[in-house]
Amino acid sequence: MRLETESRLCSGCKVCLTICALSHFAENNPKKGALRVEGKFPTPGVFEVHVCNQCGACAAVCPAEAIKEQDGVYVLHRDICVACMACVEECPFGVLIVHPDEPAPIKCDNCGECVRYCPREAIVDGEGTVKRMGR
Amino acid sequence: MGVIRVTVRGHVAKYFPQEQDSFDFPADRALTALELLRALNVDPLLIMGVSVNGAKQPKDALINLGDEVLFFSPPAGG
Amino acid sequence: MNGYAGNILRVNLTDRTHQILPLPASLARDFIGGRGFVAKLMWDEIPAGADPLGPENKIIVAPGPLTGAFLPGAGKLEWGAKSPATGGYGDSNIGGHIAPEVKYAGFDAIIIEGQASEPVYLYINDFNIELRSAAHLWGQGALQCEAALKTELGEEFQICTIGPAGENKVLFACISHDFGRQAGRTGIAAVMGSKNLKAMAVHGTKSIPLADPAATLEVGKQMFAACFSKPGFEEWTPQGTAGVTNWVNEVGAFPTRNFTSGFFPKYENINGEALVTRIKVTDKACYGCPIPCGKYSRVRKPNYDMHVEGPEYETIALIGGNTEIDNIEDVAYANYIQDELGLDSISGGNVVGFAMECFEKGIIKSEAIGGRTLRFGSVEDFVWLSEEIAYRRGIGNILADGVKKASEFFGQGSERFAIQVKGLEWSGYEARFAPAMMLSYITADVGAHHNRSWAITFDVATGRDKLEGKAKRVTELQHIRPLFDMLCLCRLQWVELGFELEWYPKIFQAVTGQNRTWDELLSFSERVWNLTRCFSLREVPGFGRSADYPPARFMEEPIPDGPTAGKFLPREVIDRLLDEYYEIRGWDARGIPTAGKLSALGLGFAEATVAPLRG
Repeated sequence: MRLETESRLCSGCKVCLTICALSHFAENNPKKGALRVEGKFPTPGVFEVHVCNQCGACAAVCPAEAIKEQDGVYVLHRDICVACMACVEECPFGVLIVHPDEPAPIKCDNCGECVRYCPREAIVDGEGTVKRMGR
Repeated sequence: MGVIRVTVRGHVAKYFPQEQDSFDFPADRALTALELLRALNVDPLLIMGVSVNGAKQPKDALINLGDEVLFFSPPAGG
Repeated sequence: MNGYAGNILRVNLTDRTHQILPLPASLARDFIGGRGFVAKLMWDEIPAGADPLGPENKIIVAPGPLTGAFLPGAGKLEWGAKSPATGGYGDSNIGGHIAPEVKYAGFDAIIIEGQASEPVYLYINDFNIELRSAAHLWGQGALQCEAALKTELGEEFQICTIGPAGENKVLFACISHDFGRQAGRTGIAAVMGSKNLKAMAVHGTKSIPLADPAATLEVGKQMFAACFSKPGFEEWTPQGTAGVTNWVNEVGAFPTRNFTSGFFPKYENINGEALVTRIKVTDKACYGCPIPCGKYSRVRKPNYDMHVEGPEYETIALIGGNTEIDNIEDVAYANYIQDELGLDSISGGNVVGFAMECFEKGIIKSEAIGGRTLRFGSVEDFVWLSEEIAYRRGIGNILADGVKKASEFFGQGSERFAIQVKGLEWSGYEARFAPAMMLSYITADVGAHHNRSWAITFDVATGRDKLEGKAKRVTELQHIRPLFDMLCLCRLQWVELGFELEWYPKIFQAVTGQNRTWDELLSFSERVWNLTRCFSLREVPGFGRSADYPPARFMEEPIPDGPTAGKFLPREVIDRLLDEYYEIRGWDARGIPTAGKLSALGLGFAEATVAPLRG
């Protein structure tokens, strides 16, 4: 499963953010979703979706070795993280998410729920394995 | 003798026979959406739009045996 | 209380103080949220006889228990105030992303009271509440002001603004948000303007408490998957609400030339297809919506180049058909002008259409408007007049009070074609051929608005000339639709996709822990409907049956052409419909709820106020 985006299809609905947070934190709080939906309004009037492509740049700068790679997925271990925020700075897509109630940054674990539930198919699995529900 | 697969999206399904929103219509020839609706005793004005095999069509487009027809209700307002 | 944020924010603009108070359990228990909170808090908080544009009026803002939660359409916010247009109950609903943000900041209702001595905006950042100076924002367009605050505060803030129209207390000024969403009807933006309140900026980081997070996740997923699988899920989105334009013209219900006719010959040049093929850029969603109805567009012509959200169907009807502007580009441009000025485009198109008919009939003379014209079909005249109205200049100052007051000022028979009920301009459906829809419009609580009860298909299906069953159906619809406003959800997934209503009690239980059937939830609607009737009875002298009639044009002038040619509904028919409607509702012949009805609905507290009005 590899996240790819088709931003021109994004409607800005934020279903992705809500399901991400609800799945991982059991909380209804899109501010804890591990991706970013950026609106460019009033002009040009489009959205850009930013997702984690598991590039590993965050792991490379983590001084505590809290971000560990397994099967191509970089997982942030909150129990090891020292909240230095170096990964947040380093992420080329700005998708290490900081939330005031969470000591550690929030990172995508490639679960694919956003792909399954994005109504617009603006977030897809580049490998074609995971599809939106109803497809 | 063949069949046209009919689906009705939205609230006007209740004006179709037995209020079904999905059923097979037995037919022995191609017919237009208008003719199909009249055969089902549904006022064509209740239908906002028609798509045949996934493509939007005018109400006088021909529907062939084996086709899938989707009737759209007018949105029940703003 | 699961689903609720648990707090009410009270802001006093006069003293520049605020209080964060716990949400009373009884309010949630008896009025659910959204429109229910608006109705009850308006009754309790606004003193009888308050000047709508004075410091005693209050603005109530409320999301609902499901707003911001994980289900389709969870993004709506209800605004309420005593309406300066009607003098009675006023509310307006807005989409976009403001509603969830109010919940995430921690509030189930915001009460705005008093009057600031100079322009301010309300800043809400979780529990950090400030009234900040809006001196640098006052005078800006509604969209311009939102852009300025996004830059100043950050993208993560959700912003609501008023434009110059609200600042100048135009009675049909609108509140704007998310570059193209509006709380348009009943002039609540004028109330904001009277309070020197330019904008509200909200940011929140909290979670909404859930009774059962696992069930919320599961039911929410099922609801989204069910939407995806609905036949027509793909087909509806591209044109959005504009997609109904063709059908409304085929039926003969399209407002044309100040509601003279119900059919506009050039409708194919302003319909959903024209929008998609000629101007659309992006399908734009409110929070949590799988069928984004927003059509963000760009129009480039020699004399203008702008972006606008829309035009929506109502704007196509009231600016396109009603003022006969016959191409989608000019309709979008006129839409943009009114959006930036902060004018409701439903009332805005209606008022300009009224002025154009007055000009045609010589009631407004060219000499009185500096040698200018107000011609049907002229986008230049439309734009000029919109600006005159927003700044209350010359003839604009009279029209800024709406068609009811303007027609009383002009006289000369113009009241007959001032297309309004209770002081609120009629929205996008001609109803002279449709008794149920006519009844819907004349009995709508806020005035002539269609969204309380949309019954045109019912009229078409059961017989346009029949009256049987119409009052009953209208009453049912007047309970279903407002329930969405109390839960503060969008109803378009149900309306457009046929999404089953049975889903809502399931997610309601997962989120709130309350086990309620859909019918139980509907009973709250009847309570709120009667309460808002009582508010208008309290505030508007002579309110009741006499306020439930359509304009004379609809009772006396047959539609001249098109599919509904010859149709009109004479006063005797209106009276029959009203008699049956009041009986079904348990109201007396003057349209006043009986003591028994109020008591049965738990509204006994209103009896002392209503009893003397029964005479």
